[in-house]
Amino acid sequence: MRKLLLALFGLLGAGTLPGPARADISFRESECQFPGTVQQRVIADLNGDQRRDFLVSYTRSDKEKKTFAAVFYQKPDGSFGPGPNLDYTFPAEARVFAVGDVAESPGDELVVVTGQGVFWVEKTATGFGRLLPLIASENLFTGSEPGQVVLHRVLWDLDGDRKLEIILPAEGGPLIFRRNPEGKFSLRQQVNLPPVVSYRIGSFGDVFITDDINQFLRWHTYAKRVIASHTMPDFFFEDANDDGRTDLLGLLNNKLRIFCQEPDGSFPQSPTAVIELSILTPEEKKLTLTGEALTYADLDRDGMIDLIMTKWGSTENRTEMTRFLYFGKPGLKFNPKPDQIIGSTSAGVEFGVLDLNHDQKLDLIIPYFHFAPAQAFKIMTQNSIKIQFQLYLCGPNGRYSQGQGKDYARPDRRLILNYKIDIIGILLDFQTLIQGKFQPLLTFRDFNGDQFPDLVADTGSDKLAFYWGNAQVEFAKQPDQVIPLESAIVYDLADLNGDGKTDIITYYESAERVQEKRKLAQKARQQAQQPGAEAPAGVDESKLMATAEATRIKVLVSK
Amino acid sequence: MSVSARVRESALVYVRLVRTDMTKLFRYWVVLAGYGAMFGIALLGAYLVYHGEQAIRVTSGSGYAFAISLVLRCVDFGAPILFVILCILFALEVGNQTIKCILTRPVTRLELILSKYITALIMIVVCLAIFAAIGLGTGWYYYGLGDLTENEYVLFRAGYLYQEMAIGFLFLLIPFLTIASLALMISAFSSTTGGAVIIGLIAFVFFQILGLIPATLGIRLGENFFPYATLGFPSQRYVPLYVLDDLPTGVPIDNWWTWDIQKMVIICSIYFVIFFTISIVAVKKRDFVL
Repeated sequence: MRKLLLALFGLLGAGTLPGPARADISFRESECQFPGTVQQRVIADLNGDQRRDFLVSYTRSDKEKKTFAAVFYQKPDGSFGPGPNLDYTFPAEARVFAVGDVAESPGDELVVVTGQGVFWVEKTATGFGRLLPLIASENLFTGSEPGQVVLHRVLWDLDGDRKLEIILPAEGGPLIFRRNPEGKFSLRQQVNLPPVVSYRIGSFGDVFITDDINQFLRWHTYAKRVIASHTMPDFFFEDANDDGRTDLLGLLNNKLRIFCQEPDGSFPQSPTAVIELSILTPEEKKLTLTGEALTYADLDRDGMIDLIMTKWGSTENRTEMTRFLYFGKPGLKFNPKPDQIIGSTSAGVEFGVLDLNHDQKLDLIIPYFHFAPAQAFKIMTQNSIKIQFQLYLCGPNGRYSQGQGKDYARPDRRLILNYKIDIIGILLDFQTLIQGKFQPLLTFRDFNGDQFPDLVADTGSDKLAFYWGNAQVEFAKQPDQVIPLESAIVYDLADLNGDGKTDIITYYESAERVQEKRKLAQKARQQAQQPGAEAPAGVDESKLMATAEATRIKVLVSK
Repeated sequence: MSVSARVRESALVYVRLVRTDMTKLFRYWVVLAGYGAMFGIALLGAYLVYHGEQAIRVTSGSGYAFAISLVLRCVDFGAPILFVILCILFALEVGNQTIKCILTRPVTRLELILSKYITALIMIVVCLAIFAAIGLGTGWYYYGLGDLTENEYVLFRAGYLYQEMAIGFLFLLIPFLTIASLALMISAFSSTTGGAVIIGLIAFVFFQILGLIPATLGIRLGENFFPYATLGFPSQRYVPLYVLDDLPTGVPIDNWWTWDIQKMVIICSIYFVIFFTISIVAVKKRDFVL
């Protein structure tokens, strides 16, 4: 009997024994907080001490239509203080912001775009100061209503001189402002890439959003409101044709327009190349469950861009996710038929390109989701979901593995992870899910400084699992290291202290937490109003809500 | 009498008892209806699932994926049906007074209850065989079996898939045997089949509800986490199928002995020992003459 028990415990132990010892990483943890709900984040050296700080834009429920910014400076030991070092309220005329070195002050500046032009925010000893003009120019934001001030990348180094140019979206196309030796910005060119203007007449049943009650008005003739919107393409600034100069690529509606930079730094008046792709058949175009979207990357790193056309859904299976790869040829030419096809099944269209084995070529990371009842049962009984990644490694020939005579490329590796899902949390915070903000920390970055991207996976149960990368891209079945870290769906990954290892910033706030805190505030108020207690004079609901509103930040800097 | 002769004699007793049980049970309309329901619902389920998949255009893609999905559904609804059938296994003897006849024969009470466990095991195997047959049969009919392929590439050879599925079904026996031990324990205390079924269903639902405890609540055992929901052992019958479900996605099962399987084995073993012991004590101590 004793032998039997020993054998049983031995067997159980065998399954739980740790793997071979590996070099662990360690982090210095700081906890910060600011009084608002996090919106966007930027990592930059904001005080010129050569250490990377971070800026967070945030909103407060008691101050609608206002956007704030909080800056946290990194200390020499890699830690961060509990509260923001600088706090700023964006002016009402601000529309978007960016961060970059555009002025002579130390470090990067906070840049604000308004309908009148571009400004930078002066830094003083006590905080942010005046708005100082950089450019006076009408742009796409001119005449727009105030809204939330959002991050928009308007600063780019187009000529590699380490001085940033400003790219301002405007009616006729993006305006490019270059910085002269005196530090002043002047208009260099307007690229002929105007926004696409779409319109519609009248509202469509959205009375709760637009106050357009007239759409339901009967027997009363009137001219319906005209709604027009301008859509600037996505801009990429990269070398598309291997001439060593940064080109401008505008991508909208599966149409890629490439403006190759001339030797004098200008862009041509008409696109150097226009690439328009569609792979849906006429039958598929009629289906609501299919779609296609174009993007690009230099996958084989031959200096010429390659096209990636994603098609989702098919007449047979709506979960089919197929990616068609067209490898670029000199002169920005492409074969009419795809060079390779990646077939997968997934709920979402996201995918990634990353050099996983440090061979200078981009590998494809394709999330894979298996639609099966077992997934639903597992969510219900174990509150966990299986997430799979298929890895396609770009070979020395610049192509992904593919069998002779086969139509599809073959995944080289498959990773499967279990993610704990807080069902109750999701139900209570459903808006986060439907807004697409539910993005667990599952990504590839180099955390141990060996140049190979490691897989970091939030287990969903307040643990962060690390799987070390290597030249073979063979990740261990079990995590190489696990650290405790409150699960987060808002995070930043960057090398904050410049040691070559990725650091982690996580943000914690949700409507559910705010609601909880609001309940606490309510309770506190009720207690204060009990007989005998001093009733707060004129309780301000909004102030109480704001008091409860806060975002916690955890910063993990590698030691 | 030599030891081998005694073993042979004892084995003969078990064979006779189990054969009698099987003869009796499979002439009993409730048991036939139960197995008929498992067969019919599984077959109808396969038909509906396939056409449902086609309607919403989210297909299993392979016969194996379809089979595993179907077996999971069958295991889900089939376990309560099997549980009810097993609840009457012993109570039927008491209710019909046939136990008195059995005990007048040279059969010990321990042999009697152990023979019921063997009968239960056979009934479980028959039940799982039905699920497997319908799952693989309909999977073959709708999507085809053979080597598992993805985008023209062979992911796994058919032999490997059948081997892993066989292992999965062996692991499935563990939670099902525990469910059977609960049924037999309740049956051993019951004098009527109706009473056994009612009390049995209450107990089954109780343990099912335990499985609804949020999975975040539990205790930490070294590196591993043991959720309280595991105490609801009937839910553990899904675990081998969760593991099998990796196969259609192209992920081989390198290790069956995962923490999830360990949890299933531990909790099912503990419950089995408890229910088994109580059922033996109940049969030994109970006065069946009155």
